[in-house]
Amino acid sequence: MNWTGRGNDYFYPPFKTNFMNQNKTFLFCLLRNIENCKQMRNFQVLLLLFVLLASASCTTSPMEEFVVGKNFIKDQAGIVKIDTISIQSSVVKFDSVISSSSGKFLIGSNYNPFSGYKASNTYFTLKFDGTIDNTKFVYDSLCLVLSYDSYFAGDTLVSQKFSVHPLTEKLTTTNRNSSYLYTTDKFAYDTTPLGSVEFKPRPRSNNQLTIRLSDTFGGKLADMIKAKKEDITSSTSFMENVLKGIVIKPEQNVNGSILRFRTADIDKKNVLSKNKNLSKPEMRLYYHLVPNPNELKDLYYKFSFNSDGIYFNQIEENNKNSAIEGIESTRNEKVSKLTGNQTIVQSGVQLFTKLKIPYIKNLTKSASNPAVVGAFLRLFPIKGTYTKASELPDSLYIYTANKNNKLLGQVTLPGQSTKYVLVRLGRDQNRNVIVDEKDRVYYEVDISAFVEAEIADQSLTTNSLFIGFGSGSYQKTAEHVLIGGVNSGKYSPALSVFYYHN
Amino acid sequence: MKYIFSAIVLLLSGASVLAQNSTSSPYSKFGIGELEMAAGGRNAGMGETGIALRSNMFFNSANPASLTAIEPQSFLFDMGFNYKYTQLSNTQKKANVTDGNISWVQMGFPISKKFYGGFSVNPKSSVGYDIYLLKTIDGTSFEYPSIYQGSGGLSESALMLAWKISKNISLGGKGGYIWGNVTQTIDQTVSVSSTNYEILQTDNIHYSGGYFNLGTQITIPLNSKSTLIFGALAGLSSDMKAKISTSITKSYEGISEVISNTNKNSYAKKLPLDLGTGVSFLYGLKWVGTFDYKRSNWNDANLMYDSNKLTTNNSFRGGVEFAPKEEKQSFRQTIRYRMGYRYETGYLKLFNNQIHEQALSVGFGMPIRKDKSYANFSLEFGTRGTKTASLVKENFVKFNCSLNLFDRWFYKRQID
Repeated sequence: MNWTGRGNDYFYPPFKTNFMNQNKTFLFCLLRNIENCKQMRNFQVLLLLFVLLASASCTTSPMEEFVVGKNFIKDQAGIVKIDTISIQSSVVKFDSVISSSSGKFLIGSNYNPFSGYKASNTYFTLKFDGTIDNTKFVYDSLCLVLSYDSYFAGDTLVSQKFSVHPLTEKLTTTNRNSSYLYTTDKFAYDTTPLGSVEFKPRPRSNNQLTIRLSDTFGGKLADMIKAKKEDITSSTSFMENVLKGIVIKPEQNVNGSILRFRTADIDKKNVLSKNKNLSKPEMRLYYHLVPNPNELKDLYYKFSFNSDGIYFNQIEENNKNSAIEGIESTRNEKVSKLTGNQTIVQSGVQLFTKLKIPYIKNLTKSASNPAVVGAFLRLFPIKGTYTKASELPDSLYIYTANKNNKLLGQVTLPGQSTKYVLVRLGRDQNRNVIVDEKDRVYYEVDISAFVEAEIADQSLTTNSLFIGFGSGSYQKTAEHVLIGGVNSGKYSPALSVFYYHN
Repeated sequence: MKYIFSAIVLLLSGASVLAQNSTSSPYSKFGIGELEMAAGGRNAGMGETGIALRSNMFFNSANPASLTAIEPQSFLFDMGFNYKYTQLSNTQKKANVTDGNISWVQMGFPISKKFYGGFSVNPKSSVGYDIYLLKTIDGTSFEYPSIYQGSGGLSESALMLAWKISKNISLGGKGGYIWGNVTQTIDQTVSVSSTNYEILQTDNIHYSGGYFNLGTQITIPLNSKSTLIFGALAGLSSDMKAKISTSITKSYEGISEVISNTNKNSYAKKLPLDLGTGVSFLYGLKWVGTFDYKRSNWNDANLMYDSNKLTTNNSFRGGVEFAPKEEKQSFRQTIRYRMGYRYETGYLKLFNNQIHEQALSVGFGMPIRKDKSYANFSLEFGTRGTKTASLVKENFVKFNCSLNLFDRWFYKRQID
């Protein structure tokens, strides 16, 4: 087969193959036709090239992420911050706060106009500590010695009067509903004090507070020691028959301070020399010897704080004429509108700041804001209600509570079950308290997990946030922070929710 | 007819791979992606001109009226591939990418003395981008990374019909269907708190829609050697349906939840109204010179994102072809050398910067048989975009290769 002529645009070349009669595919025909071509080699090369191209086509070389400028894409998709979500704030009082075995004695009385007067009384027991080596001694005096723990809440410039009363009832948790004692529990005591002291508190002095007790009682104890009575040496008998326990009470309705005292001996190895005999509370029976051949001085028998026994801080309050007066009659809750647009976080008589986000379940109902990627809450302590920002509590606790104001648990980090968030005082890298552009210090907390949980919750009820002192600290501290409630201008709580917007 | 069937099978198999993305341009995020040029192998070497080009040997789908140049009882089949090497650069960074794809598969044939038909399958647009962006949350100084990725593309298949009204006047119509899937994702990682959130939005868009355009060519012989051809093209603006399914996933601390899953059907965007005109000057069989002007109004092509960024593209294209030997004298096919230049004002307008494109092309057509079949090769050197205003400049070299086959059919075998 060969071609006999060449065609031009208007002339058909004498083409010898009739495709119609060949039972081959189009492509095969094409190839077959090409085989007959004198430029066959050329074509094969071309064909090979085509096959290569075809096989390699549709591939894209991997490309690293190409960073473009901020203006390249200006779409709506992105993260937006919304801080106009409405909040409701109120104060909630918790009646029953566990305070048994709290680890510290809280004694004193303080005041703030928001929640009124508080007085903390400590109930505890004593036991004889040591051995009776001298029975021939002369009784001198009986004292109760308490060691300051440096911590205080309130005004220490005000003189206070502490009185020590013997209990007429055994300290016990039996016949009570719980194995704990609460700040509101009551035990009977003899209203005639064993002794009292009026003093100016020096909580940071590393000194001790000594309360002189009744010599009548002291003499009686001395006689029992001389007789080596079992009522002294056996702590059970001592508490049964001699001294059931003690309550130290401050004078009430004093705008002073609540002081904290140690319940354990100081570890002397780790303490500077100036922190001399800082010990747990003890009652000392001072005596001298006659004759005194070895010139011994400062002799005493001691009855130490029975740390294995039952002890607790009882806190009495008097909120008459305060902002929260009558809170008990409104289910222990008062909205901040009725408390001067302020709320409080207080330990001892536990007061929580309650924040409710009424429309929290609707936060992601808008199609353009379908996801929350973080939510922050800022609370602002009111300037003038604290002396120094650096003395504000470093952190507060935050809980979720149901509609009945029952605490459900601490707020965690998103997706976590045990990593709890704290409401922290804003500090810079050098640990200095940050004062923002509006001359405010602030507490801040990530409440993303709370928001997530509320949005995910299908029920109709809305939980709220409770900010307060922690379960550990509220047994030991007796302080408060006044915080702006809603509609308190620049001190209003600020909720910032970060959304994905599309 | 067997090979028609075979050709269709081939075309369809080609079409199955067309919808893949073959671009890495950040600009392909906008509009329906980077628009592909698919007029034919000869056109690629001549600055993508074609409105006024006519040839009995080279398929030209730029103007359906050109089908009437096909010889009776013959057909043209053209299949092309391309490779594109692009250097992307902005003020901070450079990146080199290579992409390749099938350019087109198309065929034309006479139906009768007056009517001609043809069909084509080609990629219409390609989407393939990977953009990293640092965004700032308004009202804060907080920055977070956003990664925009896109892939996919649209394919186009079209039927062409041309009518040779008289010896010198032809009219052609092209009706096509455009379809394809584009996947766009935005991946944002935010850690405003100590928790890292990742938000992944995936938009799967399925496009489909038809279009129709009309073309005409008028041949005016000036003298025995010179011919002038005028061409015009008008495309009807048509709606394209887009089905969008959007899903948003939020992940944090090992938790991953789909927070939104929506489907939208009602979405429609308009394909641009194309208007073009061209002129060619033929001097014997040696020289062809041509110039095209085309205007595509993308303003009305509403898009899901960035609707304000599309604008009218004006394209100015010119090309020449030169055959050293006049075929009638040499009685041999000859290599045809081509050159072209095109300037596009650009259909994207980003921050008042229209994304211009200009390219210079050189190429040649090499006869591959004694017949009128050609292998066409061309290189296009071009630039697109600008580095100013945080934008991206692309310098590219595009290699185009096509196999333009001329063959006979309905032709009886001669018995020796």
